[in-house]
Amino acid sequence: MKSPSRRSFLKAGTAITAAAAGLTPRVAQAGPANILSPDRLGVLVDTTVCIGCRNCEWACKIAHDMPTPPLETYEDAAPMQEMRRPDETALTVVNKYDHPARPDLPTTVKVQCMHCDHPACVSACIVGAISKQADGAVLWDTDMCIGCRYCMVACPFQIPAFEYHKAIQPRIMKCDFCTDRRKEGKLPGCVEACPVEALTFGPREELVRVARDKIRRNPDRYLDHIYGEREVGGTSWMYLADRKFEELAFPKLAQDPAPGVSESIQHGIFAYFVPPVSLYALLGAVMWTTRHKHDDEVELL
Amino acid sequence: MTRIASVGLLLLTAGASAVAQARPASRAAGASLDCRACHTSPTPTRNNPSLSACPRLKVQGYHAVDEAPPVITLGTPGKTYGPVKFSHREHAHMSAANGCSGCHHYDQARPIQKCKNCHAVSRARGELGKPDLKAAMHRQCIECHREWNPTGGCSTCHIKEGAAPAPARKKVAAPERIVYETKATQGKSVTFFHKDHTDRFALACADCHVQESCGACHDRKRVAAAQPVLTRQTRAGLTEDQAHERCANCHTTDACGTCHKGMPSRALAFDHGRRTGFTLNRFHARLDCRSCHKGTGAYRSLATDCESCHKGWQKTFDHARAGLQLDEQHKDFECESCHDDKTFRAKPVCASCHDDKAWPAHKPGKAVPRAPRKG
Ligand code: SF4
Ligand code: SF4
Ligand code: SF4
Repeated sequence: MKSPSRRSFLKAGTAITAAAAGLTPRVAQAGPANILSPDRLGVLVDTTVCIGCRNCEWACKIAHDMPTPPLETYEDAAPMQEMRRPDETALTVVNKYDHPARPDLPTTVKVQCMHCDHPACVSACIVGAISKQADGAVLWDTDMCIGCRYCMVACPFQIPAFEYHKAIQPRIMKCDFCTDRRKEGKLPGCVEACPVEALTFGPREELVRVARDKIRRNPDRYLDHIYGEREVGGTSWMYLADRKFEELAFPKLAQDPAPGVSESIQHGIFAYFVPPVSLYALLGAVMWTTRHKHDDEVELL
Repeated sequence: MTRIASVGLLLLTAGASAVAQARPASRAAGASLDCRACHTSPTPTRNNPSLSACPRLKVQGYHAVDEAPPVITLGTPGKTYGPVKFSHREHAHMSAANGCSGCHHYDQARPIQKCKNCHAVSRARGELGKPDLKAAMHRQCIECHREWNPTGGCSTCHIKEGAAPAPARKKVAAPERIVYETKATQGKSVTFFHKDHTDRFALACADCHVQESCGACHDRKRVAAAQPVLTRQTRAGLTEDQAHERCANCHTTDACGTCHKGMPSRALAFDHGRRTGFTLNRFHARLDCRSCHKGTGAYRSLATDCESCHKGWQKTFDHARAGLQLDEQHKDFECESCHDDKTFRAKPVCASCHDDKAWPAHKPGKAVPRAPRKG
């Protein structure tokens, strides 16, 4: 995995630059307006229930018309031998972690965009190509993206992927919370496919209640922690587990929203590396258009 | 009065549903549970909640496992997989330890509820607190199946359309012996003669293996290898009582050295009297177990009166064999005249005829040497 090191490098660079200029990251903070609806949706992932069948991986590809091997081939657990991240060919992946108490029954964890309530990717995007929707989804827009890939650096979960192999119109690829399916009144592909409903889809508030109730009723089964309830200011996708989330490769994150960090990246870069005038003009034009297009959703920089 | 009450109730209901409609996706959506599921009165109060008996009772012997439906077909054929022919009765036998409530949890005592009475058929629903039908059923099966067959995929149960049915499962190969490496200071190894025990006492697996994980027996690797002798480390941190629990159920009086070879020991003895309540007399004690407990399979308890084995013995019985030759006055009496218990274990009584006589000071005949055992 190369991205963490690259990200930390960038962060370090930004910190140095910002420090040199006597600029604290706080100064640059300007998150999107809070458009979160109390009825916004989410998914509760119960890793103690997940059986690692990877039907969700399959269903996600089907839902997005991506090249998909037949479902039967997913019965082979071999791909879980190594740690994977979602990428441009798979918006969600299931990873396996040995369980200390039961060698035969590993813990399996589905990974996808967390649809953060205060998404770092949204703050990092200089043209507003990514936006948080009132229903909870964090969506990426083909037409606006300039391919700068700041979102990839900013995301604390290393989610956005880039179609590096495509010369023309490469896209940022990440879970879109199956917005199209939901518009048709369907459940997200993965949620519908999960045989054991390890993925419970519903209003986020209700999911937090359900999760609390599960923990209260089965204190032996669950760690008293809903991952994503508060991390980086809360996420739409939340997780339950029977052991420390760090053991399942979840980053240990503070409760503050992450955007401040990423904003200082772009501000730092734009303040101290003057880009070629032509690109600057282009960016300005794009930003100006998006400002009008998306005024109602996101307050831009 | 009744009318006013019902109008009030109607208004209340209307008000409640209006509130529910105003907040479609929030808590109200979870309120699909009818109040009457728990409350017997339409107007429960804090002080008098009029709660009905909780339906979350375990199923208890609604019917015997052998009367359970043998096969239940689950699910509808999908594109990839066919429906599941679920060998219900076989599974009921396997889960005998938990009874029906192992799966039919939180069920009323009778009749057995359909899963979908509680678990929603549709995954898109308001009540998210319990799994939907598909998940509930999958979880029931997968919990055990995953444990003993971690690599088995969907097709273990969901036979593909047109594919041959699954081959009959291999029987679990029971080991012949299990050698326990114990924490004892002397006689560390204890050999448990598993096959001897199951054969002699005609034990089914579940007679002993209760409350165990399925994987403890259905362990693929061992089925393949079918090792006749297994070696097991006894778990650390057990108390002496816990460590001996299983064996001590029967081996109550045996000396340590019986199992822990090498420990100072006294002779092994099955104390028939103590275990069964029927102390063997000197004749019976010398017999082979199978002379009385006939046939093969489990030893069953027998009736304790002599007649049940020794048919018609009284007609030809020579009392002298018991060490007493009856005199002329007594020799034609029915046995019961003196022996009023059928097992001939209590002291004979004289008092039914003689006020002034008592065994053994007075004897109805002459003491003679006891007869040796026949044959
Ligand atoms: S919500 Fe949709 S896009 Fe996201 S992981 Fe599930 S199936 Fe894939
Ligand atoms: S997980 Fe990453 S990509 Fe998804 S919303 Fe949060 S910051 Fe953005
Ligand atoms: S479909 Fe459900 S059970 Fe299967 S791997 Fe995905 S989350 Fe886990």
